[in-house]
Amino acid sequence: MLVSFLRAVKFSFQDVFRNVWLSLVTVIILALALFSVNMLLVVKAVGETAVEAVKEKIDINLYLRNDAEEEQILALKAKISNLSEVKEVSYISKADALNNFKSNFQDNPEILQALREVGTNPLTPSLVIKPKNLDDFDNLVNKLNSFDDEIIESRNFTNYKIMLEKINNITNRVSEAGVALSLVFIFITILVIFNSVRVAIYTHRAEIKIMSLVGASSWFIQAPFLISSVIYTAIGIGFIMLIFYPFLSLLQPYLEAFFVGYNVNLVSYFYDNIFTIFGTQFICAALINIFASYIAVKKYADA
Amino acid sequence: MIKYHDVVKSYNKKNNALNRINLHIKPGEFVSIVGQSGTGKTTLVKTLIGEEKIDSGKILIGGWDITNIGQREIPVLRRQLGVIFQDFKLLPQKTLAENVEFAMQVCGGETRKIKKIVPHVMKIVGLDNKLNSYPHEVSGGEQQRAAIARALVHRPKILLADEPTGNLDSINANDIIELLLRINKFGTTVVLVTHNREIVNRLQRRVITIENGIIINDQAIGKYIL
Repeated sequence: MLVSFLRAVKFSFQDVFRNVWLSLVTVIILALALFSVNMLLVVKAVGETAVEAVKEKIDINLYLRNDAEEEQILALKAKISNLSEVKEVSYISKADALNNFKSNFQDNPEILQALREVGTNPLTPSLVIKPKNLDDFDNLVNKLNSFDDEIIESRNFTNYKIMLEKINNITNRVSEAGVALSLVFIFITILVIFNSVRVAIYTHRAEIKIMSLVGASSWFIQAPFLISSVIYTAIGIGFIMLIFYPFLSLLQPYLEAFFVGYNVNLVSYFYDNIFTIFGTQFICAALINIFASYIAVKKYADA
Repeated sequence: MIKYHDVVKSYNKKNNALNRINLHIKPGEFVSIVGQSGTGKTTLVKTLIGEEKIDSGKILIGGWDITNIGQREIPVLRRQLGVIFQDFKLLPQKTLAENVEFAMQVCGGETRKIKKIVPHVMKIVGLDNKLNSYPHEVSGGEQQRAAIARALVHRPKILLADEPTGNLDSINANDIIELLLRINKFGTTVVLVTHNREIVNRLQRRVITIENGIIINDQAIGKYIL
């Protein structure tokens, strides 16, 4: 049995290398399909990073009156902290607000000059509230609106939810387009593998006839074609690994420039998950290709 | 060894390729099956190797009922039968020895056994000096000898020869027939399908004559009567 299996593998390799151009086209189409699948992963990773980046920026500011007592502010802070929708509340005092302002505009001498001309600290103390869950954002806003504390001067409820929805929508659209493109490539791959096996069977029709006449089992006649499809898959995966990492390395500086201050390292993401990503792709692609080959073999090489 | 009971095979409703064939070939016999083209000789061979299913009747080979043989049993049957054809069916990119080895390789033969048996069989058919020649480098007779060697590697009990001399000149044809007689002498049953009158008449062996799918004559020491 082992001898027969090894011979079937040998015949498969002979078949792949004898029809080298056909094999090359098959592998390229397969690699294109795998490339589009991997691009989907890239889009997903970039989308998730963008969403996380926006999420980190989401907060609600309650601006307090200048004359508010420290005790009143801390009492309000404690009250807000007790809300189930709140993750964290930070108190920014007048002095902190001024320091932050100066640090933010340190490169803008005109604004700093204007501040100096005012003479006093014009900024108000504030409470910065981070929501626990973005889905509860509306609830939290409603609750904060219902707070009728005299020390609250104004409220800033910028709706980050719309921004997140936009990012999610864009990511989903790109993913949908990617899925559609991948499906097209997978379908083309099935057709190409089917045709490659069909051509290989046609090329080997004399051998198949002789094998059948001298008593080779159907398994032995068909196995080399099925193994060939696994060889195509392995070469395709190897090829895509070879071109995808340099591609990611080229993409990395642009992503880093776009997501300044955030950790978006696709190369290390693909390195860390190399076995999961490419192992899963190999298994799935091999199963699809074996399926296509099996149909071709059953149709054309059933001895 | 080979028994046909009321075997009927048709490809269309009008004519039967084999029409109620009854036949009994004993072990070690040398039988010629003769008839003109299209009379059912090749259909008979195809039903014997499981390539064609019959419509009715029964076929037994060595007591094994192959009438409704399953797809998985066909390889087992074919390893017990050696088959040679008019067009030799050798692989052009393999040497004569490799062609013979191939038959053993695809049936799972061990490499050591293959290396031992192939030169021996090639010697029996007189090709021990042409092991590394390619089919296009040798004569038709030698190609047919290689095909016979390939048929013999599984030590079959029956050798089916479907028009083995059809592509050969008379000298090569006679050589092949001599070889078949020698194989028969070792105990292998030989079924020779031919329409070569000269060969059949010279053999002085059993002759079964088929016409329109019917056995019209079966003589122990027969002649070509058509």
